[in-house]
Amino acid sequence: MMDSEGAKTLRKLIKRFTAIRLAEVTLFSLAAALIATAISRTILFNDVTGVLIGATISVAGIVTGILQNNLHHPDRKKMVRFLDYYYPALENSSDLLLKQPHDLTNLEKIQQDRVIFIFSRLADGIKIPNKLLLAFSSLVIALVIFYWLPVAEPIASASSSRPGRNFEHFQVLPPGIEDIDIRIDPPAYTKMKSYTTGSPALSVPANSVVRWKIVFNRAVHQANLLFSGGDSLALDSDGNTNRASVAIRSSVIYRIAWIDSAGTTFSSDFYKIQAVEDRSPEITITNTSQFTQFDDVKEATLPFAASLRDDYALTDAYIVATVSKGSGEAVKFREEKLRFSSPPAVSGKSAHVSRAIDLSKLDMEPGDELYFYVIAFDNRFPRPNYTRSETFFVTLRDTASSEMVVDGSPGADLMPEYFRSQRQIIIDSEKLLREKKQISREEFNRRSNELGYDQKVLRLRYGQFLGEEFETDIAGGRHDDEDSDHAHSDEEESDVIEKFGHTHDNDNEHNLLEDHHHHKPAAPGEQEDPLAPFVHSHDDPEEATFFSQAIRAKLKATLTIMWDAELHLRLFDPGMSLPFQYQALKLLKEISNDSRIYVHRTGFDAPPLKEDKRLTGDLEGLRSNTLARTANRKDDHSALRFMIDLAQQHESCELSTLSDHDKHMAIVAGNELASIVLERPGQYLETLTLLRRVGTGELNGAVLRNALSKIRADLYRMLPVSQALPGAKAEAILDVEQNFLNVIGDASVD
Amino acid sequence: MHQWIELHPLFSVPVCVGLIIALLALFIWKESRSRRHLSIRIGLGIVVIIAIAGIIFQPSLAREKKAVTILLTRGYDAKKADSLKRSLRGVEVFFMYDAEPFRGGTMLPSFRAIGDTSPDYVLGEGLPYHAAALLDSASFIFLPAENDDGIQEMVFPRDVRLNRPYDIEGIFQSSQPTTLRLYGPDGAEDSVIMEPGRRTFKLSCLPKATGPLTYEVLERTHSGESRRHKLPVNVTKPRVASVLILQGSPTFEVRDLKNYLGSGNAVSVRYQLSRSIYRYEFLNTKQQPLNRITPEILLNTDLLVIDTDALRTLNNNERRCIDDAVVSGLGVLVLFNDNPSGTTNDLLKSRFVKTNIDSIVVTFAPNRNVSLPVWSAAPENRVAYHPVFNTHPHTVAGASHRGAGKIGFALWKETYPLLLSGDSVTYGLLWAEVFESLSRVHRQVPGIRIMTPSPLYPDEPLTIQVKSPGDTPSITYNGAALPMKEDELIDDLWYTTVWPDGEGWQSIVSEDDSAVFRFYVHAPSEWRQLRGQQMLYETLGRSSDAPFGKQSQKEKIPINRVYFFIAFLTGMGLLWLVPKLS
Repeated sequence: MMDSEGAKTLRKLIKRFTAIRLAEVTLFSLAAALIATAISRTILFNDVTGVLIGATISVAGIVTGILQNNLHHPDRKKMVRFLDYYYPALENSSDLLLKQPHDLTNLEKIQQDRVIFIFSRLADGIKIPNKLLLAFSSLVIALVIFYWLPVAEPIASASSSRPGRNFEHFQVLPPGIEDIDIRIDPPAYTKMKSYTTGSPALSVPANSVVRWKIVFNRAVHQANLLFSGGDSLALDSDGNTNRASVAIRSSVIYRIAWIDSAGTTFSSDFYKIQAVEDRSPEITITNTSQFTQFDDVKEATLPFAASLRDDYALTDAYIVATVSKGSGEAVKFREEKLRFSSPPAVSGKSAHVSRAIDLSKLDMEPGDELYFYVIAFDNRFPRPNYTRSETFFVTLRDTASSEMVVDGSPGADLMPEYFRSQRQIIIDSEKLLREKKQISREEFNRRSNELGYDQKVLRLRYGQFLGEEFETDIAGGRHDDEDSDHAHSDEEESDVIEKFGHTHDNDNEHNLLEDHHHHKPAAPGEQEDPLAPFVHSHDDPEEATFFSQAIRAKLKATLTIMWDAELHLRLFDPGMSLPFQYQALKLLKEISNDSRIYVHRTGFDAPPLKEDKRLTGDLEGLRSNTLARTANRKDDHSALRFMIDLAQQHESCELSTLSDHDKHMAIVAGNELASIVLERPGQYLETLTLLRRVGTGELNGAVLRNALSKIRADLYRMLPVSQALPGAKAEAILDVEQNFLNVIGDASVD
Repeated sequence: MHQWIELHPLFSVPVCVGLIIALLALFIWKESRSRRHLSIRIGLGIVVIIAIAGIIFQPSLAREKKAVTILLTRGYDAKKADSLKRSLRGVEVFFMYDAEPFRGGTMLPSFRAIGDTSPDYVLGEGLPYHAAALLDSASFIFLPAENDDGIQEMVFPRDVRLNRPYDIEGIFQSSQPTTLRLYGPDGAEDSVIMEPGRRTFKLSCLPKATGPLTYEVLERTHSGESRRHKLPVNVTKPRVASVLILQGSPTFEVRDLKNYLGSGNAVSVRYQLSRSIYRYEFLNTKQQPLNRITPEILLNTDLLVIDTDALRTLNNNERRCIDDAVVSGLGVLVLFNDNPSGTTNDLLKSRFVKTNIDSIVVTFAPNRNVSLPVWSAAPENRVAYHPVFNTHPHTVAGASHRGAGKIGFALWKETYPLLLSGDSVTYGLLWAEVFESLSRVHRQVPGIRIMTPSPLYPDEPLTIQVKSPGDTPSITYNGAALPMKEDELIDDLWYTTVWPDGEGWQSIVSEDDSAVFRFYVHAPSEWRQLRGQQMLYETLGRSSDAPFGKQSQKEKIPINRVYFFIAFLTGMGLLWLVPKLS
């Protein structure tokens, strides 16, 4: 008995081992099959192929696993070896469990009894090593991958990455239309081939000609394409086949409407045609500084290179260079077109162009400036797109002009007054030095101090243009008290800004001024102002934008030098001060040249006043007049508001059916919504379709109520906040209340 | 001291006493003409007079109660009920159908049965107003239950206009942090996190469409429990108003104001170009002569906007016309061309004094403030004007009742820069408030109003007030005509009661003019805490304020009027018979 029980337990153990291995094999195989299915349906073919591949892998894996692990014919000896290895208590005698007692010696019988006893105690606790957890995890991961990987789109919509070929998800054709075939002819200049699609939702290059061929499953009396904005296009009928074509200039929404021979009107869903605009060329300039300065005209050659790119093709590109000569009001401008040296002609989708700009060949002299930018054109027809780069500045320094001021000025000095003052201080300082021996020490000191004061006044005046309106600002201090006695009202400040600053809507058509929106990043540890990147702190000296950044830096340097000049004048040492004064004058001269810009004359030229009529008080010919007009504000969303109200009434079960007027308003609301949908591509298309269905009376009962509920929520979300309008109030007032009010009124008047 | 008898006269006491005295005088005069059986006739006459007095005064006798009645309403404290029952003798306990059953108690299937119980003690959340009205005032002691966490009180404006911001304010009680969120028709509009305790809250909304809108208030505790309550809002469009603007000389301010008002109203403008030359503009209205201000012009005007320059040019007759028109209902807004401090405005009849304020911030919504330059002046008699905006301490725009009309002023100098800066919404809010606070109130017929406080629930009585001059108003609910009862004291004021039979938006229709009045009936699970608080206040208001155990234990037993009638018939019969006796 004991012998057979030991063998029976061992057989159970072997069955358990087999079951576990089989489960492992199955789980691993299923995981592999799922992954294979997901990959194959995503990148290769379709669902059916994927499933076939998966099934094959699954079956193959299971069969292989069974054969490899010998599960179809379990090996008892293998189990015996396992027991002996992992359970030393069996004293390497597990094989005795399989033997019949009559085949054993006495010693073996004793040992067999002993092993059977030990095995009966161990049997329940024997654990077979397995990878079930790993196999199960693999299956879970495979399931995640299976659901995560997208299903391959139809070949027609994924075949090309060219613009205009990215169709939206395949649309289900409405009942009544058997087939639809749309041919798109892109504009010739795009050099794209014509192509066809079966999806009514399109994305095409702007100005493409779209040709519909719609096959109905029965003869139709009339068929139209109805576009947003109210346009409609009748289809030419040829039996059950109808054709129409239209050039798509901008994005539109359309639907197909047809009347069958019985006179019933049908309509499809709304479809969108996205017109992909031809983008302007892109210009990238990397190796050229925006401000370049040369001292010697002989060495003044600027190497220049740029990368050009367009979505279809480039046709031309060149440099537009403007040379400015002269100073003050005598400044003159000359514009030239410079071709690139490499390549000689620009073509293709992208090009790397370069040219060395030789300033001497542009007939530039010291003090002259060159402004240039690159302009590139594409092949758009009839009017090409073009892009202009930012403007680059090149200056030939006028090293001689700052010296000539000492010798005197030209007959017509065009410099503003504040540019002479520094020269005057220099002249007075030199005069003071010359007269030093003739005058007393006190007189010398007094005049030197006065010159120092003049230098200070000059410094403060320039400081104003840098935003440093107060002496303490220049010294590094700061006025936090806005109510200080420095009476600079906001109005005055804004005037100064208008006069010397810039505005964003100016006529800087030639882009001659650099963009000077410089915002310092917040220092580490400081609390960063969230508005800082978006505001323009004109009040902050560090952020002052009266001048461009380069000029501001020079002006700041000038002020520092003026400090030194003043210092030595205050110390009664004009000799030491003079070098600083010369340096300040030189910088001021450069600033005056830098700030030279050309501005078109703009504004309104008022007709001349009749001086003989002015202020005479003559009202002859004037009389009372009357103007009457209707000025009711047009509510652009009246139909939308009507539908919201209607939907609410349906939701509260006040209404259960729609009147003809309600249906008409649903159509009107759809038209209002269509104009909004165009501005927000992809949104509210479903609402548009629901409105159309409500308008045509396709929906009833609970479906209608649900549709109206969705319409109400979407329309309400879309409505903007409008201006509140006042109006009269109405209340039910009884005679007794009116009498009461009248009595109060009489009392209060009395 | 308790009275042993209590009278319930059919008419006012003087009328009843006068009637009795008159009858007594008539009897004495009639019976004194003959001396035969005089004593018997006098005795019978007194019986008759007493019988008539009994019928008229309806006396009831007070007597010691045989048993004490306890009424248990929803949310009652079982321990309190047990304790109360043990402490009293002969206690009879009733519990409402929606309250926890009480052992030994009798369930009341509806609130209508309360009138028969005459409870001495009411425990729990209390009774709704229609049930509490069935009990005699101060006849019971109320031992309220503690209300559950939730919205305890809430205020929301009744008249909601399009494109105006509104606040929903209330008191919220919670034992844990809770988020209150207001959902509009298109999603969340506002939210607030409430700390534990009893605290006030405010949620803002801005309706963008007219008609019945259903907002929703969500309470979500930090532990994840949530409750949703529907908040119905009936958004109305303003009616077209007729505005007359009289201006001394053209200004940007009035030009923009005219265009703004003209976008939805009928506007007439008169401004002076020189001494005798005027310019008239009529927007959305027919032309009419405006060279003189007459009562006819003002009768058809809802609001007169006049600046101080134009005011100076009016003659005495015109000023008198305006004064009379205001008393009749016209609204007048006075604008100032220069600082009014130290001057007295004839139309406003108010003197202005100087202030040190030259600009003021007006707040319309949490994120919508506007700073306006104002004249440094304020009316000397500040209490005469109620402020249109809450701009403490100075009133920059005020209005005052004068008869049926209103007259007011605005002290700001210019508001058109708001339009130039593109903030037409704030501009609209600013002026709309001022105009509507002053504009003439038109008489609406009929005026329907729900008197029952919200929330309303199905199958609960709903009292409707109708102001309708003339014949009995014809009001229907679900196609059925409602019986109307006129107020005993006030003419043309009618009442009716409706038991709504469904949830959601319901409507009653005035058959006289087909006007539809909408109201919302909530699901029984909504606003329970708010209703609980209302019931608590309602029941507390009707309960006795006597300390516990000291209240009267007497009950009133009305004397059946049949007895008096029998006595009257007997007395009169014998009086007829006595002269016939030999």
